[in-house]
Amino acid sequence: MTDSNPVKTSRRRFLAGSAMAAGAAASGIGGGALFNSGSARAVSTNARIVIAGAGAAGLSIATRLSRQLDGARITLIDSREVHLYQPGLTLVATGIWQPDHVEDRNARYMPDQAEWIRDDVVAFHPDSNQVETSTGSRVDYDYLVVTTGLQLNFDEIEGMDPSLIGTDGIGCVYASPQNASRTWEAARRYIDDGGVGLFTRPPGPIKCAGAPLKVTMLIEDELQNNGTRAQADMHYLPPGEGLFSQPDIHDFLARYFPEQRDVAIDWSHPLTGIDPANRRATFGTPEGSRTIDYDFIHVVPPMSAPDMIRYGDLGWQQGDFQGWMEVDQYSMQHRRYPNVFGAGDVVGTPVGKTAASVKAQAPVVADNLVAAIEDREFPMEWTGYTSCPLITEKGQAMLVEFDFSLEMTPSFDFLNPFEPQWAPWFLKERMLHAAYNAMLRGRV
Amino acid sequence: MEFSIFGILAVVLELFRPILLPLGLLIAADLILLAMVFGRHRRLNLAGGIRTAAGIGVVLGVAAAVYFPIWTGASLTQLQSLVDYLAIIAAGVGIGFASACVVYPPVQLFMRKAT
Repeated sequence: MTDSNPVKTSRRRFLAGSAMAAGAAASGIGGGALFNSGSARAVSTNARIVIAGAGAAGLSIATRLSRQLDGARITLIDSREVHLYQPGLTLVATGIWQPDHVEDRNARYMPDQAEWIRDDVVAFHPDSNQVETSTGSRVDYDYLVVTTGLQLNFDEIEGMDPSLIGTDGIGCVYASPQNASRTWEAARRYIDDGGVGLFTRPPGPIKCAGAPLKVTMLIEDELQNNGTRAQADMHYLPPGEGLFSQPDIHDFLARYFPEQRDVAIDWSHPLTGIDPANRRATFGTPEGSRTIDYDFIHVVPPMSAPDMIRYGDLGWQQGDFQGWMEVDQYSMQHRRYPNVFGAGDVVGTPVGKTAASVKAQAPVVADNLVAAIEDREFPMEWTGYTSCPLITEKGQAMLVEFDFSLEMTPSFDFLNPFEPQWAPWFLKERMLHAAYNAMLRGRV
Repeated sequence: MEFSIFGILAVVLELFRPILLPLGLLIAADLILLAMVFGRHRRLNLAGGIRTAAGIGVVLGVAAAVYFPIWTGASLTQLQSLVDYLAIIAAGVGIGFASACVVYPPVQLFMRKAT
């Protein structure tokens, strides 16, 4: 690991600043001690723990485990040096943030006690407790945490390739900050010229399912601000009869889009093909194939667990979540391999695939894995908590929170989740990135 | 989602992390000046200093409250609910109070008793 001790460095800086002010020093030392109180009751073990993937879930869990365990050999495997703040990609793709706003370094959040192997897992061998990396080496483990994230399957849309993003009126918020930025270039031309705008969503689970909705509403808002709204014919095309998994928000959006935003909803329109040269998109509707000419199209690719999970031993072999990682949705433990846990976008659970889900899952995985080492009952369960600051325009959002029951679970009773307000926008635009970084450091 | 005081402190720490060092230096300089105020308090017009610092705090607090939505890329017309207004009022009060605290020591040192 090349980075110096980021946690200790920050704490030194914090304490140095605090020492200059008596009151601040008291809170700084007290806070610093309490933030790390886990080490005082760390569990002694020589267990070998491998974490596959250093995204939000992998780093959060690694940090927590490194505090909760003493003597464990924790190994993170991921070749990526750059850490993406993915919840910010929507804001990049709509011109509100610059791409560098969402780029960070994994090294800043890697716990000292963990070994970082800059490589990628390409296969899991749970029967022999090994993972295989892209360089051909095998790493043994006693416990495995799978946090690989998911893969974008652009090739499942005929004629689509991520290199097309930004050209021929094609946008996509998902692929990378650079592609999100190119999406904004394409969207800006649409905002200036108007025409037919298609906003798609693929079948199956996707990460941040609110993102296609946010992109639609933010571009509609920019058209209004630009005075070109009358020249734009906007369509939102979900693959089935649902707009959002939480039913009250679905009902709200089903009225709000056509009535208040003049966005037509074309139900049951999964995108099957695209002809960029002619700006023509093909949808597989229940009535057959339908082709629509467009001036701008927001393409959301179908998503799946990485192939090594999808076609490997760790995936659900059947059922609603076939191909996604098979975990118990409450304990996050693999249902067939008890020394394997999963978190983040890769797991097959009824809801999730947001940073808010990761925030709720990380302590569950860490605490339950420690319990598994100690051979005691699992102390924690994930409730399915997830959250989406659903941006309705630049400056307003609705804070939507729910769990497995699909009932709303508002953290702030005073924030009406059905009313676009500035306060949730403030949270999204200014506060959540800080909360995300605190999550990576295992402090929230 | 449950919140803890230390979780909130951790988020605030992350929010200020990029400016933590200059912030610490500012607080240190202020404390030194405050110590000088205590040392010279017999020669200073304390009431005048407090009034002036409070006035500056009020002005900066109001300015901050008005600017707060704009800082987030929003406009004042987008404040919709009571919560929105309470949020910017709270921000204004907080920033105004902090500003008054920061400017008080240097302002006070300039305000001597009339001889």
